[in-house]
Amino acid sequence: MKTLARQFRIFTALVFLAFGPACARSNYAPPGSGITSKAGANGCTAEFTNSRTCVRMQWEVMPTETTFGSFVFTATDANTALLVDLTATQAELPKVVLWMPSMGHGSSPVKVERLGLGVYRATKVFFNMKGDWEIRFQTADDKATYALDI
Amino acid sequence: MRWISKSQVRSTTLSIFISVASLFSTLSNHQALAAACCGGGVAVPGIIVGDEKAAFSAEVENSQIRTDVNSVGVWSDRSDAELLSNIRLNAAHIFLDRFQLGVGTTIVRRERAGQESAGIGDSAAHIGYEILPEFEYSSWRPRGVSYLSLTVPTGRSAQESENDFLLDARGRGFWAVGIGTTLTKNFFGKWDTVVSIEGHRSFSKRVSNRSLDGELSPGWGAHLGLSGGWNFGDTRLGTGISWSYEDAVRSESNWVVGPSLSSTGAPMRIATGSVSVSHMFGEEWSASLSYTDQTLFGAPANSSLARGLSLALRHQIAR
Repeated sequence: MKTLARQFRIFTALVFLAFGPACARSNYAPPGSGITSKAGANGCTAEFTNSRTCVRMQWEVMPTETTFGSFVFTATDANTALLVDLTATQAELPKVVLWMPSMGHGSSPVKVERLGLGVYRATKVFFNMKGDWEIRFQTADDKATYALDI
Repeated sequence: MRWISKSQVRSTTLSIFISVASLFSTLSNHQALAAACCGGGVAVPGIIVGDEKAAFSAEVENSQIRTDVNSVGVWSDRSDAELLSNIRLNAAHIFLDRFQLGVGTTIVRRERAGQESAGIGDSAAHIGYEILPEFEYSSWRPRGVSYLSLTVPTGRSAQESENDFLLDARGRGFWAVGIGTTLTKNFFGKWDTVVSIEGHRSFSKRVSNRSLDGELSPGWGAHLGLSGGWNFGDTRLGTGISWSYEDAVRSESNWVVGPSLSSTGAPMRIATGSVSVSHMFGEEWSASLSYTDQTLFGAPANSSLARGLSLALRHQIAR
């Protein structure tokens, strides 16, 4: 019994010696940091690359870890600041894609509806895991990206 | 009647324990491989490193994912944990004395926020060769098996998921070939160590689903596993740690219509610590109870972290 106890002590000591230096340092985000964004040039949430159309978005319902959110976004001409439609016809709608660049995958499809000239609502907005995300606004030939950390 | 001396019985027991230890060392490696949001669905080649002719194992694992780590190593806890259950099945058989063939697969069930999904994870096969046999006792020379492995993407990847919580992502989802070596050594009939090293290359694939239509390009990956055990009677107390790395998954895609949606991805790092208790029931059966934890070691990045308990049963047939 004494021998077993001695061997157990040796085993425990070896484990601590071997694995102690490998211990992780958990680097938690500051409490309450929630969703933080990286965009914002010229007061725009995002800007279309070709047309220079400015997109501004406002959260209506913030998404949580288990529930969908929604936001309203507007499109304005960068020079005149007037509202403009993102697509050539009202039947067409711009697309909103949620994309996680570090993982190379997206989330569930976002539903977009037109509320008026240059004003849209995006619903079913959901980030399926924490990390870095992009909200990508797309038309047939142009795109704008808004980067954020969840 | 063939007489077996006490020391021979002891040696056989140790050899089987080392095989079990090796299995767990490899298991924790591959668990880590799959941890990045994919639910631990990668199958493991159950390598024989002892004196067995054949070995079959079944493992049931239940774990919880409560923490995510982003691509720059910042941790965040989930308010709603994900429950993950895996059943892993492995079989391996020796042929031509020093060669072996093995296959393995995993059945995965994931549950979060009242939703659940279950199905087959990735599968794997290996062909191995005993590069360092143990014909006679050496105080320093380890016993070693090298192998080539093939991962078959029978599980869906996170990139192909159709579920809001990615619950139907049960594997990495890429074909991969790997090469690895497992070295084992026992000391003084009481102590054992297992070192497992592996590198693999995953291959590109085309994906077309609701969120992307394009090509995903993974890269290289590697694992290093170290474990040790203390054997007393028919019982072994073991502990181990394994480190895993996966290159970023690059994506080039178009979404229905429109400009290219490409991203360079970010590499994944994770370390898995484990403790286990194993017991032999005669010469043909052994069982292990293990606790694994991915929150304790290393500097994880771009991954979810799991903690879990598993119970494994192993049937081995002596040569």
